[in-house]
Amino acid sequence: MTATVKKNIFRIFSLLIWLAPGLAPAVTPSELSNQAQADYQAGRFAEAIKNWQELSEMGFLNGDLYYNIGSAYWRMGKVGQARRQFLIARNWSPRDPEIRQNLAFIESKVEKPRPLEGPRAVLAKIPFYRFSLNASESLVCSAISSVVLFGFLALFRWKRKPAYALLSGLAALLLLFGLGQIGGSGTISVSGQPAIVLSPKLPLREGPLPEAATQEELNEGSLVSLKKSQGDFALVKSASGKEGWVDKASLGEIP
Amino acid sequence: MRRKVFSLIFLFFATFGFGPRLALAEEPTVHVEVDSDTVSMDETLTMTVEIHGGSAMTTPDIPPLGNFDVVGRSTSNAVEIINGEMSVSKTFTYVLAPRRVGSFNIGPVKVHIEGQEYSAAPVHVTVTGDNGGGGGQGGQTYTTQPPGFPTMPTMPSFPQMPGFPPFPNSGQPQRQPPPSADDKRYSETFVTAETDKKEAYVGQQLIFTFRLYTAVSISGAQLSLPDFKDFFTEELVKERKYETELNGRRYGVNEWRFAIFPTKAGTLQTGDTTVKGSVPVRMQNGPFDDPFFQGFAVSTRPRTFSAPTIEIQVKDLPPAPKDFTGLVGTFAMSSTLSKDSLNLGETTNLKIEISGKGNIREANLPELQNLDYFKIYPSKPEVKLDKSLQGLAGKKTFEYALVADRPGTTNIPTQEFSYFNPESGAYEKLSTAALMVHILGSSSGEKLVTAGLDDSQSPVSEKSGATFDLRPIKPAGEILYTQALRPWENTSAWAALLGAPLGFLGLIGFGRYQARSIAHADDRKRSRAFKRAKGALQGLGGSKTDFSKMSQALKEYISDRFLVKGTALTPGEIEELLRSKGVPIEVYRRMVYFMDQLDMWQYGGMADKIPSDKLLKLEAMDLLREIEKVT
Repeated sequence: MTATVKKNIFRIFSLLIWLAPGLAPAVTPSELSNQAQADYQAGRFAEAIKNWQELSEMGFLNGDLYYNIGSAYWRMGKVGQARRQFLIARNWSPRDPEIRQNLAFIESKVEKPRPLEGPRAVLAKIPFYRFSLNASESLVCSAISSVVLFGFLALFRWKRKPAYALLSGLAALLLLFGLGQIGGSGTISVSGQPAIVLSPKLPLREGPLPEAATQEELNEGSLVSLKKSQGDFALVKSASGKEGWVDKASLGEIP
Repeated sequence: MRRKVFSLIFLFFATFGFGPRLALAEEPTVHVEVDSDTVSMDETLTMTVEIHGGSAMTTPDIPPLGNFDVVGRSTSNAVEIINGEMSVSKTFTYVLAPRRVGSFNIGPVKVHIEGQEYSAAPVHVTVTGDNGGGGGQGGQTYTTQPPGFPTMPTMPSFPQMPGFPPFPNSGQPQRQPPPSADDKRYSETFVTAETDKKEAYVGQQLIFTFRLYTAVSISGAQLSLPDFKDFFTEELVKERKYETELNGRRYGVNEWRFAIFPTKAGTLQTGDTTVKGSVPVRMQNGPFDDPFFQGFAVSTRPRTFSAPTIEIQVKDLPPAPKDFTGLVGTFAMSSTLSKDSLNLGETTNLKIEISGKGNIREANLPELQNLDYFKIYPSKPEVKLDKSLQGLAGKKTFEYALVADRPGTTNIPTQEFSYFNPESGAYEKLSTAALMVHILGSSSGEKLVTAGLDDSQSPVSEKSGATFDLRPIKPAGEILYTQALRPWENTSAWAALLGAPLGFLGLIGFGRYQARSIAHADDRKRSRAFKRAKGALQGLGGSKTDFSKMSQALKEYISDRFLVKGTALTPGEIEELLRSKGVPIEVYRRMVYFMDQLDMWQYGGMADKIPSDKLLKLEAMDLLREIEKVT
């Protein structure tokens, strides 16, 4: 074997190695989903989460996916992440009762639920959430109602028929409904940017320093309001109303 | 009965009917007497003012009774006719309750009869201190038991009612000395207070019973319980009412019963128990002290009945083991597991119950430990109290949701708990049995993640949610979709949302613009006339056609400037028009002349006299500027 032949063999071999990843069959979303479910059922929750997150990176963004991720975090004992994922799931699928039930269950473990009294207790039993829209649905609803509203307004201006005014009024109501929900279902009861505590007994410090005095310890999974960031710390307001600094890495924002 | 009625009728007519027609027999006299010259604080005194003779009697004038309260009063009349002579008497009866101990004079009592004053000498009364224990001002205190109580000296006074458990005799109950058998005070109303023990440990249950015995009705009764300052208390039963017979007399009994738990060692006092109320008082030695008037001559007066404090000797507990949480009594413990075989991720419920007699609220379990195979979710302990006449008992249930997080077989270890048993005087340890649990792997598929959930369960109802964990995950095939809008959808939606109002506003704006254009077309035409004429003149030269165009441009200017329709104006019309619009005479004559010249140059062939293009344009522009000055 001459040197030229050896060199050509080496080149072909190198080319095959370089092309190998591309030639290897890619994992389909369906396979990934099945694998995630199998991992979950086998108790390999971390692997299941990884696979589902890969699906989300591929563009499969929906409440059901985050629901599953939240369930896996719960099984791992990560209450904060579980609550965060279920909150994200609720943002995607606000009308899904199972998401709400699981979220309520987790929240009952994190914070003692306050019993409602009087008319609020009655109102709480009415499933208003069945009329909730996610951001995409709100946008589409608003867009359609906007076109209808201004279309009928233009017709009314031109023809002066009361029916057009009535229809434009209805469209205006629909537009208000859609716009009202464009920012989400609005059920996270904190002012400002909500965030979830991801670490157990997270110290709420008086200053943005590791040696600053601790005011209180925040429970994992508790909801805080994020005010601002400074270095590795974030200024938050806890559910008890105290403001203080926490390690930013221990917070999970809710998109 | 008939005799009584006749007596009353006769009395009425004797006083008011025949009186005026009969002569009075004697001189009026006033007589005052009291039923006893010595009275105790807890008794009443009856004072009688008797007036004989006279016809127009007034009520007696008694000096202020500062040392007595008048708790009852009555009057009576009597008429006697002997040998045709009438004798009238009137009796005023006062029931007096002493206010303070001492010797006092009541009177002199004066009466005015037919304008003349009659008086009686003062009476002297001595008020002694009361005999009972702890009575308050203005009231009487009766303590302990009724007279002739069969077993008084040796046993507690509780009557043994059917179904009523006897109290254990641990220690001698406190008693006041029994009253004498002929003391009427105790025959109608009295109170008792008792505890079932006089010695106890800290935290041990004692039963405190207070009873009010009454043979007469008490109105407005108010119970003041002891303060139980050094005790934790729990009311066992609400006020209990029943009847009993003591010494041949029936009594109504009102009973209050409490479980009390000493909170510290030493000699503790329960505190006084009192009942205040108004009791009926029958008038004595008065005009109505006759069987005929029984039932009428009854008044009421406020009384206070009190039972004295009870002294309890409380011993401290011996040094306690580590797992002792303060529970004293007799108790038992048990544990159950909802299922002992489960899949990974499923939940089983561990229930530990502590039950027994004592203050069960004090029961507490140490944290569950060594449960490596589970994640533990404790529930809030549930306390169920069982209150009875025998004391306070109950059950405290501790529930833990155990979520299996590792496959294998494991033991839920024994849970231990210590309490103090006062009967044995020692700490006793309770323990549950170890419970074995099998945690299976993932072979059960979807069932694994249902985690003990069925469709009827809801996390909102925690009562039924003992086995609730999470809803099952979504199937693999159902999560492969997206709820996010694709880029073009997103852009289109935003475009529609924002474009619709913008388009609408655009339509409105265009409409307004059009309307304004129509309304201001003449102005626009006028304002543009000069500009258009200037533009037309710029490109012209000195040819014949250019003269025509220049003439046409000037006519169009005049037409636009003064809003005249058409441009076929004759020089005469132009002159007339300019004059009418206020154009100076030299200007419009120059204009008419210039236009004539243009026509001549165009048709007359006076080529040698035609000025240069530049001059023509200058003249034309100069004329236009002059006309522009006209407003």
